[in-house]
Amino acid sequence: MFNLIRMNLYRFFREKGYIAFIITLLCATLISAIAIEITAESGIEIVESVDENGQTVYNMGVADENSDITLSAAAEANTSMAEIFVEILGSGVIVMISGIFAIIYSDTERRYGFVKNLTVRKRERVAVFAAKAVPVFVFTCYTMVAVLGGVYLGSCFTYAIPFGNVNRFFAYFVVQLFVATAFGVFSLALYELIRKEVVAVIIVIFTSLGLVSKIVQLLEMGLVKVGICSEAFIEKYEISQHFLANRSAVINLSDVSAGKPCALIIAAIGIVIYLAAGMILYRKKDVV
Amino acid sequence: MKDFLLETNVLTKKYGGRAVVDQVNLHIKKGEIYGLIGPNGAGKTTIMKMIAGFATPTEGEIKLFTDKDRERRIGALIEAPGIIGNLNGFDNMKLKALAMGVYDKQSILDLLNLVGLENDRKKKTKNYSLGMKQRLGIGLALIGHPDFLILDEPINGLDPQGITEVRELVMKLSKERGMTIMISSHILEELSKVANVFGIINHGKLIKELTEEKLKAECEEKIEIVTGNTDLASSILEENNYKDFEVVEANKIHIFGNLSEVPAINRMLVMRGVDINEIHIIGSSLENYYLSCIGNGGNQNV
Repeated sequence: MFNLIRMNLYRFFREKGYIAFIITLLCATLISAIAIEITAESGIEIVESVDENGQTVYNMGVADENSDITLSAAAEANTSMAEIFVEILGSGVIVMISGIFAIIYSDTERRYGFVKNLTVRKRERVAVFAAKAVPVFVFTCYTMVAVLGGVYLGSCFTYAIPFGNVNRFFAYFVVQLFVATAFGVFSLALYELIRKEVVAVIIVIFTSLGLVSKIVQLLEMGLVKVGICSEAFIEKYEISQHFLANRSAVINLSDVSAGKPCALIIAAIGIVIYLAAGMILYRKKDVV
Repeated sequence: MKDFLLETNVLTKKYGGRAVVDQVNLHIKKGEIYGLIGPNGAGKTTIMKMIAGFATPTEGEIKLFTDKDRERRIGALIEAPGIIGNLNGFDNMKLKALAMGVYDKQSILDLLNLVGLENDRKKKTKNYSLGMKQRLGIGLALIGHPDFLILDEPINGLDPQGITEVRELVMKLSKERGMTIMISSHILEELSKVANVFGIINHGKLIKELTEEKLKAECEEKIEIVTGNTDLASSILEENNYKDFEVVEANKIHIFGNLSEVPAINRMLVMRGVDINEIHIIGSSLENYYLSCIGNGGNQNV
């Protein structure tokens, strides 16, 4: 297993993964620069509110009955890099990128036939599958770093804004990293199931945008309508909130758990389940 | 049990209920170069995939190395070489060596030298010619110094020089390293230059296994005598110093050599009271022999 991990990491860096880093950095810079510019010009989108701990927080585009709208005069002082980072990742882009990378990585191995070099009479070929989770984790991590770098550069090109609460940011970063990695592992397993790159990528895109949770919500409505379960039951258990893509979208600096069980546990369960599923599929199906 | 390195026992593979490999019993001894020959779609690649562990047999078993080192003791080049186009030759080799836990820079350079790619090791493999890719594929299969090498149609698409190079490499590996090699092709003429044991396969069934000597004997021109009294004919032939003959069936004798003495042999036997039903010269080219085997079908163990 260690040898396979070593091989995967070597392959990851030799196949010029830094190109993806640069593209992500550039895109994040552009998005951040535009977001900061709009915020500074209008200010209307910046909202000051008080969280449950009594602390003042600033959100872009979030308003409820406890919020005040802050105008442009103080706008550039009322946002942070951390908030912009959360906005970008909360759109679903990081789980999507992690998922797409996982599929392309697996498909390249199979399409080139390189997988044959790894599985000749291998006693436990499932190790070949499991070892791929490591480059998925590394890629997700450095994509998030690229986004952060882009936010910083966006700030450099427009208005200097503060970083924000470092401890909250670090907690958010770690939780989001594991949630996105879990989604990447789900994508590895999905690819092993269908072994068609394009179809898998399309499923991943729509899943990362919340399609599965929408379907589940529809099913929940149906179940309530036909009387199989009550609305209170649905509200109590909120099944759709436990999906990785959904959880990734709702966690934020103020609340990195965003529900029970916490997002980190959801991610850990997801990694275990999808790794196990992928390994079973990998063992049962022919390699080529 | 004989000293076979590889044995398969009623090895079968079915896809959608259809058997593409049907109860194949293969036997390969240590040090042999086993040529698996059959037309396209006969099941050669599928057999090799199962032996290499890429596909699971539907029925039957494969007896090969059972110790924990078996991953290192087998090298395989099945269908196209598995190389990543965006990486150079050295990196492709390094990846596999890392995965196996046997990475050593000098070993890889030695292997690249062995397959004639030492000067192209830094070139991206997507820019390699077909022959270079095949050689790199063989190099990949040799990582870890396996004892058993599986080569699936390694000369496909190669020019005559490339074919010669692969053939010489295979012979070298067998002679110098004592490697056991299983090589498949649909070109018997080429395979006959390297292999010393042959398995002929068609429609998923192993039709025949025969040694190089037996194959030559099958193809060699000889005199065939069809007679009802092979005992008397045999003793007359021996008395007259025709030693190189074989009673192949109850009413058939093959005489090797002496092809110009057909009339004399015929006269000699008839005058001594042997009834000759037929006497003629038979023999075939390798291709004709191969075509007659796959044309007849069925299982004939030699």
